[in-house]
Amino acid sequence: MRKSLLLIVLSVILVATTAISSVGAATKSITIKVRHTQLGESKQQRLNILNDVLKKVQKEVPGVQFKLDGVDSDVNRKEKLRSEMVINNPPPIFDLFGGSDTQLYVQAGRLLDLTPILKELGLQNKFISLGEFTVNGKVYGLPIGGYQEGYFYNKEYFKAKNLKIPQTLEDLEKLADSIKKDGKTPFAQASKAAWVPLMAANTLWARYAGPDISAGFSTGKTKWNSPEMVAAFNKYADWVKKGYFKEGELGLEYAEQRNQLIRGEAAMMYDGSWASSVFADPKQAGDLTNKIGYFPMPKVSNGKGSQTAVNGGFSNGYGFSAKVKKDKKQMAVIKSFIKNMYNDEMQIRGLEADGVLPSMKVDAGKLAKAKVSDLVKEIIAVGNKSSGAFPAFDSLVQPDVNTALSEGIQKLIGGKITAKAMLDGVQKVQAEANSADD
Amino acid sequence: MTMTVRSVQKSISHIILLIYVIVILYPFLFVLFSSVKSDNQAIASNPFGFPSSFHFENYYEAWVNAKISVYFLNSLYIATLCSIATIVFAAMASFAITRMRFWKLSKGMYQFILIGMLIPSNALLLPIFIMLMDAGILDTHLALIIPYTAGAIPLNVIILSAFMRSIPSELEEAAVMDGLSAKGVFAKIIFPLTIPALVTVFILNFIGNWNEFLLANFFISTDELRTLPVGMVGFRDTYNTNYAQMSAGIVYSVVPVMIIYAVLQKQIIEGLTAGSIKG
Amino acid sequence: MNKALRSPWTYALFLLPVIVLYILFFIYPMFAAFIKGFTNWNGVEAARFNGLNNFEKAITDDKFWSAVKNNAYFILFSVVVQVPAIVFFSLLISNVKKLKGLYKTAVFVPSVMSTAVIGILWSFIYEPDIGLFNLILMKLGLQPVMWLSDPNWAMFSILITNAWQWTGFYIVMVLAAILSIPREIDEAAIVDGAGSFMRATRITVPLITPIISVVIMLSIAGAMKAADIVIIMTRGGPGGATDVMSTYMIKYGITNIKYGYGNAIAVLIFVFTLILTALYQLLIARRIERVEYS
Repeated sequence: MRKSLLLIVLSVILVATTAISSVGAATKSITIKVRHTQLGESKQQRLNILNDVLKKVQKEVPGVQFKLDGVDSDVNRKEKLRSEMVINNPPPIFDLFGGSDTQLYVQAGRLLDLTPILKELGLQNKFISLGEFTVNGKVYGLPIGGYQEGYFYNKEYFKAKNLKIPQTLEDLEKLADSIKKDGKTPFAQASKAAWVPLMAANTLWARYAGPDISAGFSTGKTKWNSPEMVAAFNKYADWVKKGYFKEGELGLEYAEQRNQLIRGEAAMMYDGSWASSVFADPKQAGDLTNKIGYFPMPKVSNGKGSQTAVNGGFSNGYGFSAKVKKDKKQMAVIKSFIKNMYNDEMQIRGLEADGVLPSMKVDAGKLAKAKVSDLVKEIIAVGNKSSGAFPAFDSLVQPDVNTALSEGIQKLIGGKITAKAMLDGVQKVQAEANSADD
Repeated sequence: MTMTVRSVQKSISHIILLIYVIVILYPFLFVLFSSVKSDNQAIASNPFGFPSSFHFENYYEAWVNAKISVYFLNSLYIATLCSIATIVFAAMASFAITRMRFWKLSKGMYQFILIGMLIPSNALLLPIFIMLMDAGILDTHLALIIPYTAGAIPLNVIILSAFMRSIPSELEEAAVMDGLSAKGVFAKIIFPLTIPALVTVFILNFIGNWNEFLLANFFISTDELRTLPVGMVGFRDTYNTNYAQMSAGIVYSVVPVMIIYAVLQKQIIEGLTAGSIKG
Repeated sequence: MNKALRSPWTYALFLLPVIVLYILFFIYPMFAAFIKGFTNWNGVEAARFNGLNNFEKAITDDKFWSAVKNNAYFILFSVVVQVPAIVFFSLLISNVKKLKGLYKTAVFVPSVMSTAVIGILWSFIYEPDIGLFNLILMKLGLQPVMWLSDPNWAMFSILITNAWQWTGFYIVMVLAAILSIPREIDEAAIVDGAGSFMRATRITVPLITPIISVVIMLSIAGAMKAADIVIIMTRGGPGGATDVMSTYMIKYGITNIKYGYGNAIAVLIFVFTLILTALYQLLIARRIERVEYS
């Protein structure tokens, strides 16, 4: 009632004010909006892949037009898509994160159940893991690739200074000290967006407190301010104090961290495998093209649980609006999109062009023939040697907790708070969020 | 002797003022120089000086990467449309309030609209956001056009009412005697007489809409629909590591405003300051 | 006579667009915020009334008060630092004969620029490695300052940028007031032997107090509205050090999908603005004889 009244009033104004307005001309063929996050130079290859897939879909489903809507990944995840979900008006095809995001949207009935489509296309067993996109046994999203996080390092510099890949955290610190003494920044970092420093922190606390700890926060089984967590963040704060990071990095955008490595200012960088493509592109990596190596977060003596687990998974991909179900043509487009996007060819193309780890069980023979850089091979090797992968904390906890920890890590880097006080605060928010969920 | 003291005083005044002017204008010059330097290295090694070589390709790349032309046209048509819509509506309302014979009701209306000046616009961000979502026009230009048009109403009504009150009533009485209707009085007598005030208010609205960031940032996400301020910030976030190109982008968005300001500075200064005082 | 100007239909028709738009975009959202502010609405599920919970949560949240404090810094900075500077520069410009137009035009330039462009420009100036400020500091042999990334400096850096943007605007306003003072008053003082400092403090400043009061009021209004410059320069960071009430509302209302809570913050912003307006009326405006400017 209220809505319709509002609509009538607004449309009256609309007619009155904006006869000139050029918005929203209806067309005969359907137009489907695709929300992607492939913006900027470093993601150009991924955008090309998307475009090629859409072209194929257009051939299979005549009369369909696509409208590409590129939004920054973080903005899309935290603001844009979230608000669209609230009003039940997401684009038909959109970039989606697994874990808590997917769960929330499924609860609200916003996501299209893909289980029947996967069955129809024979894809149900083709993915390595759909766990992050599965709710109550049904699949609501498809990961476009896998990722893994670890340390990228300047191989030439390590060779010139005779530095070795660290096996323990003590080794890593000694390494950092010697790099620091040499007048360079040990770790490249750019923390204007808090998820960047939280990558290294996440694995560090998994080493201290065990890789499974993060899953227990939202159930109340584990606590943010447990002694192991405090020890991990104290270590992090210690690194900040020792000057292992560039001064002023709190004000720098994410892209700037790889530039610190590329410019030779910094010797190591903690980042996700998605960054590898930059180091294969002479336009972006300059003199350091193909001269970057990769090693995992080393083990912590007395650390709990597996010391070789990597932060990795299959958490980012595409989801589809539940609303398309009503429209046959849109459903046909979605099916065609899935068919053309998720196959061996595109997986290998993503790996070759961009270093995106496959999310599907690609034919081993084809995979072996794929032309990939040494860096990507190193990353895959680290993954194979690990005891397993654990998901990033932000796919496991409520958004409030993520916000609280994001503020917290920046304060910690800024020297405004101790690790203990910060984690006490996060735990308080966690407890509130947990009780609100019941 | 007094002469020399005075002239020394004057020179000190000029020196202080010139320093202030440099502080205001130098950042623009810095950006202009940086925009033709080859890369960050060139900026860092010779930050203050004239560029040693000119790299105009930065302008080409910024134009392509930043889609300045798209954002620019969006801003231009939205700002113009909304500014005109507001002044037309506000002029009609002001006419009714100040010239038509419903004094008591008009006084109430005027007070009612005055309340709008007390409501902080950013507190309304979330409720309006939800309202536009409900109406299904979020992420279309209408999501900016209607709020922009509405947002300037209280101030425009106040300024235009003040102006219309000062128009002697004999004029319209004579017109009514000649058989003009209320609409006629408005269109043929009051509206033309109000044009100086309308120009002021138009400039005020236009600059406000042209520069608006908060709503445009939250209500529009499709790249092609963005306005210039939001587009520029997006450009900064994506290409933030190439300062030379970024500087070129800044130059694109600053130059048109500078030109308009150079031509219309008297009206702009009057418009903006009058708007704030009346408010 | 005057029948034409008494037609209720025409009257209604003339007022209709303004009233409809005004109610839709000012009155209705305010009411909606008040109602939703008392619920736990997360946008997806139906809103449930939760009494004063949201308000209680806000006023016991340190981060909210830190945001309020930052709004207060905006006000304090403009009253304590900007206003004296504005008066000083206005007096200087009014006293020179040559170049007056140039000064006026130049200082006003930032006021026509969008906050977005100014925010970008200044984040460039504050850049740690190749930014203007740190290059100057390093040339002088001083330690570079991490303007926007050091929590101790970030708010101050934003305030400087904000002052840079708006000082010229107010100077032009105050200058107009000074120039409208009748010359005879000043000339009489010169005849009486008053020096220029004396004339400025005893004659000019008292005569322009009404406009200074307006400047203070506008600064308060501007401070309560400040949000765009913060979003553009720091997004409220690092670690919430530069959050103001509006960015707090965005972060904890929209990003955390707590629309009920966000609306409660909107109500608090409104209440705080009302309190400040009332305080201003009581403490400043009443003491000053209102002078009409046009």
